[in-house]
Amino acid sequence: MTTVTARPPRPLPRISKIAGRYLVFDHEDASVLRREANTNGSLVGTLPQQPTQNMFLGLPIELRPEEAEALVHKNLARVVDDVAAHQAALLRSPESRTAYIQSLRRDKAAAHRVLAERAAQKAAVAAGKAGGRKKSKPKAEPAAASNAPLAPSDGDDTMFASAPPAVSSASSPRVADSPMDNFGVTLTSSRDLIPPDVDREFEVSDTPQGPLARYLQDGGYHTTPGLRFGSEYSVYPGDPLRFHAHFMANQYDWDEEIPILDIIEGGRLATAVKKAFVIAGSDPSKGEAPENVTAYSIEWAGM
Amino acid sequence: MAETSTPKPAMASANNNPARERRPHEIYVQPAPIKTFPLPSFYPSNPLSFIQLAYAWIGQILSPPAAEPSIIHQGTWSVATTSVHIKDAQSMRALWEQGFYGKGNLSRSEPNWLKREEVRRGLQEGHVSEIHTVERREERIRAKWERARLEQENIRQTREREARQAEKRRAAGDADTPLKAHILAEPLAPVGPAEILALPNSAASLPGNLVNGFVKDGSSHGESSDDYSKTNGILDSSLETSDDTSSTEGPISTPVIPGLDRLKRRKSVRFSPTVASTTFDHADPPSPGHSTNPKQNESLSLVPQAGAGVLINKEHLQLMPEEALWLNFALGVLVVLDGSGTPLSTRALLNLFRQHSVFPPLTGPDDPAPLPDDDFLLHYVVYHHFRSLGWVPRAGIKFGVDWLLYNRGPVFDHAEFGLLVIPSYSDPWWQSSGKRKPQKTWQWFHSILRVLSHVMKSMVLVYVDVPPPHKFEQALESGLADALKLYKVREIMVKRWSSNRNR
Amino acid sequence: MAQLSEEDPVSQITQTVVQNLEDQHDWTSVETHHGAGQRPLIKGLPPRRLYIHPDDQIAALEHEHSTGVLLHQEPEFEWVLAVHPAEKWTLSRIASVFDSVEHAGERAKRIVLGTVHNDSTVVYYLLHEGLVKPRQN
Repeated sequence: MTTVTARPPRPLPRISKIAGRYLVFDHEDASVLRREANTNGSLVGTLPQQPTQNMFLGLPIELRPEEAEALVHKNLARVVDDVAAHQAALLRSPESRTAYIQSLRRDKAAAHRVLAERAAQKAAVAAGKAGGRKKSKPKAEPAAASNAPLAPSDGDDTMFASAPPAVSSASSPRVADSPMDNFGVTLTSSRDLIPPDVDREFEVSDTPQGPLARYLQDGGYHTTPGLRFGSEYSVYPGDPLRFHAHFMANQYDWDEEIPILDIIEGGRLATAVKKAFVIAGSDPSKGEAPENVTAYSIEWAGM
Repeated sequence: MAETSTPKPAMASANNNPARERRPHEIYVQPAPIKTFPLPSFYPSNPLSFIQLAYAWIGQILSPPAAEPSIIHQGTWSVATTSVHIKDAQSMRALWEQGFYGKGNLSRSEPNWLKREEVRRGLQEGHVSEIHTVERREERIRAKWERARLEQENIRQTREREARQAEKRRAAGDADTPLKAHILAEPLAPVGPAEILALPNSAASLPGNLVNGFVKDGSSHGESSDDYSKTNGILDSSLETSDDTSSTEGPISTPVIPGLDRLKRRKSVRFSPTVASTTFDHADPPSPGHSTNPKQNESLSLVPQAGAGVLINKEHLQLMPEEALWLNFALGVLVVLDGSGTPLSTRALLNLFRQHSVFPPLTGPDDPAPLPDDDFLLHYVVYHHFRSLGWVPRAGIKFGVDWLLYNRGPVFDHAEFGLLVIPSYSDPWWQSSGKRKPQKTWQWFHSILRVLSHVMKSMVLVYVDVPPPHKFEQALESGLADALKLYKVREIMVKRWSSNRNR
Repeated sequence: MAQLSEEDPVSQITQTVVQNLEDQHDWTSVETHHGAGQRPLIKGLPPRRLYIHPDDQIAALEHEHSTGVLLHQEPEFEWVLAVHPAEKWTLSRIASVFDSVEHAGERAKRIVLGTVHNDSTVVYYLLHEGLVKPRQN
């Protein structure tokens, strides 16, 4: 839990294109995008046990196509045709398949061990509380318990560690442990299955582009779907968990007709919720997005 | 001194101005600018009622009441504002009081600019909604500045306190437990399972005052003490404006500022027997008819009675084309003159209004003739429909809708419904001509729905079945009434449904 | 009906907005600028400052705190564009309006959109160039 800074540089976050949707399954990719590329996406995943769940969703996060494109444009992420990549990886060789299964087993083992440690730690604490009035002993014990077993097994101490694909460490001695078999692991990512070279083969380059998405991404703004406020994007000056949205933004073509009534309507609603209504588009005569994007912010004049 | 400019006590004026004493239901007793003379009902169980009936009947036969409409108002077509102006003071009052037609062009709704000016100059007293609004706004602007100042003050104090704490922490840095120091240094999100398991279960089990690596300061940042900060479920600006200090919200209690409570978003509508305007909340954008200029008020009220005698009413009642056509065609109480003073026929009015329903108007000789689905006709059909049913439709541009629907009128209640007029091309002719409905986005729909729900109105989609042009032109030959019969109106009310709230 | 179409509808709504600014909002020095081939723009001085950027307000409060002197209170000249609610605009036309303001003086950061409705309501909205943080109160 203290190894965050010591990690090697990560590959670019991987956006999986599946059935026309742009999804990020890896939690670390999701947090990198959120932290460093001001892209939060929307959580769309439910728990397998709770398929009817419609609040408090989890991974994967879904990005809108133009958001994904904006990230690719700035070389902050890559989009991979996930189905094709999976098939290619599975068909390539039987060894990679068995290696993957072994890596799953290893992850299981790691998770199980962590849980066992927690249980032991709790038991120790409970015993310490029940046992004696001495403060120093129960305090020292859990600390030792949590540090000691983690230290030797370096590399596979967490089940989602960004270790190299399973091939390298397939000789884990704990794989065959029998109690592991009734202990399931739900992985959020099948990263270990697909070798990087295969992955690269299936990168997608024809993601539809949105000038406004590029412009907002480039400007450091976070966006969420804005339908609640009657716009395409709700635009936040920072992480939506910290800030309220500042803008409701709509994208138009440079010569697309915008009814004045829509501008007034948007301005009125935005002002009522303490935001500004933004209309934006890219001028095709001035180069490429995001540089050629012009935005106008509308708010009530207060007269 | 008391008799010159300062307002007199209410008692003294009560007698010399009896008009103001009338209750709203007395002023607005007539729902339409025509009078009706119904016969009293006959109850077989009550023989006396027959005598009443006979008396009224014979009375009306012997001396029939004047033919209705007894008064025909005059209006002038104004091409600049594409509307009909009523300048006669009596007609202005009558059309407003008998069915709430038109809008004073210098007022918010009821034409009371003259009264407002008189009150301003101390000639008359009483209260006028626009003056109230101005005062309220002044107060609000001051309160807002004050609020901004206090917010700023809050931020400054928080910063100072944080600086002191940081200082203290630095001094006591070595004494801190290593764990605490570590988390302070690296406030990263706990991701892996071990990290998540390492999180404390509750605030009570925290080693120090740490949550998630954020410093906690007595109060969590979710519960800021500002009493105005949570309105309508939308958090106030404090978090947004103070980018760099937002993670800690100090426990400083905000002093109560007079007038600050008014800054709260008012969801509920306010009723006032004498106020004709509809005030909703401070973020009500389109609210003309009042000035926010204090200097103007002062200078005007300070002017001694010099100009008082020659106060001319600058205001006119402005009728929208739909209202004008309804008064002219359906009620027959209005004659519209064109610029040269010649009265316009109903057909001429209709043509004129249809040409001017687009911008720029289609008045040129080679402009295409308007189709039966032009904006004016669609809106008129809906206006006619609801007026006939006894509703009071008024312009809805304030809320981005086509019409607002009042049950009795803006004096009595607030509009309950916002109408959106949508043409429906159900006739096979339209389908064969490849006509398509106007394409609107979901964003547009949601934004209107949201605006309306902010002001507690329901959205009604009014579908108007448009007849094909040849049928329409044919029917128009025999009269507008026949042409209007070809239109059908269907209403659908739309409400937002949320699975969490509507359980 | 012949006399109805003599005048250009754009200058008519512009004139309506000018009147509204003067009569209802007490603007002064209101004048109309006609650019070549451009929409006419109205320039005028509101009775009080129409707009303070939130950051300027923070700075003004800061200044007020340290010196006791209020800043940013005096009104500034504003540019007003009169439009009709039935109109449709495009981003390129809005951009050209901003460009035309530039030619008449320093580039304006905002224009005021005055929409004339035929029930005599004139609705005013601020149109800023760029992403401009909304005012919070």
